[in-house]
Amino acid sequence: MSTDIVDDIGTLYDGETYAKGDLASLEDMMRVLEGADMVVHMGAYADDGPFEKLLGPNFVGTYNIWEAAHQHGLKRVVYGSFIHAIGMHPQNEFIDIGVRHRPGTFYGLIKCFAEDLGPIYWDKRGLESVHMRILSCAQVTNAHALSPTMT
Amino acid sequence: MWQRSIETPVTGFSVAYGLSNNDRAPVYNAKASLLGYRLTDNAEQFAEAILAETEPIDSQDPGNMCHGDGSQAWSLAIAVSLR
Repeated sequence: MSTDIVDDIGTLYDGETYAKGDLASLEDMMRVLEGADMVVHMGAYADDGPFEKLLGPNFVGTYNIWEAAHQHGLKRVVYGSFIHAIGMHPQNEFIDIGVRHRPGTFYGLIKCFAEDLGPIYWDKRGLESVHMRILSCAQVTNAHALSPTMT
Repeated sequence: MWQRSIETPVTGFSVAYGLSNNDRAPVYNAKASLLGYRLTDNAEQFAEAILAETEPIDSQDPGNMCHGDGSQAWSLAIAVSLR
């Protein structure tokens, strides 16, 4: 099942169903996650912006996903994190996944929030989570993208 | 990568980097090996053509040495590559 805030997401793949829901509503997330085994969470206002604009879909929405997943007894949240969680680290330090959070935007801060929310639900409630820090997933069109891109 | 994130029997709380096996990869993903996916493809195959076609990156802009978020220039690079 796919979910979004719009009425219609167009053509569905074989086996795909669609349910409209607002990330900022715990009630909606409880409804769409009912009966699920796992959730792949990549929903968000997908750009940086004023804090108030990101607060509902990104901050509250992230909490709602984890809380609804926990309440329904899901096994795992697979989360689309982003390089912006550690975006201000210099590129020549060849960092691993253990470096401290160092976001440069509110959008990056949300990825840090989720990476700190995940372990609470794992350590205290047994809800697993995988946080995939995507570097870039796009056609390589500039020199800067030669290093981070996922081809 | 996403498939492994779903199919790995036990993950606990895990963090991994999502990228390809690029010669110029700026991150080290070994601690995510539990997930068992191996990075494939390499953006280096595009390097010669891209470096020949694009404007030089501003070496005096500190943002161009950061992983992300550092500057308007980096934002522009992301925006362009997403089109």
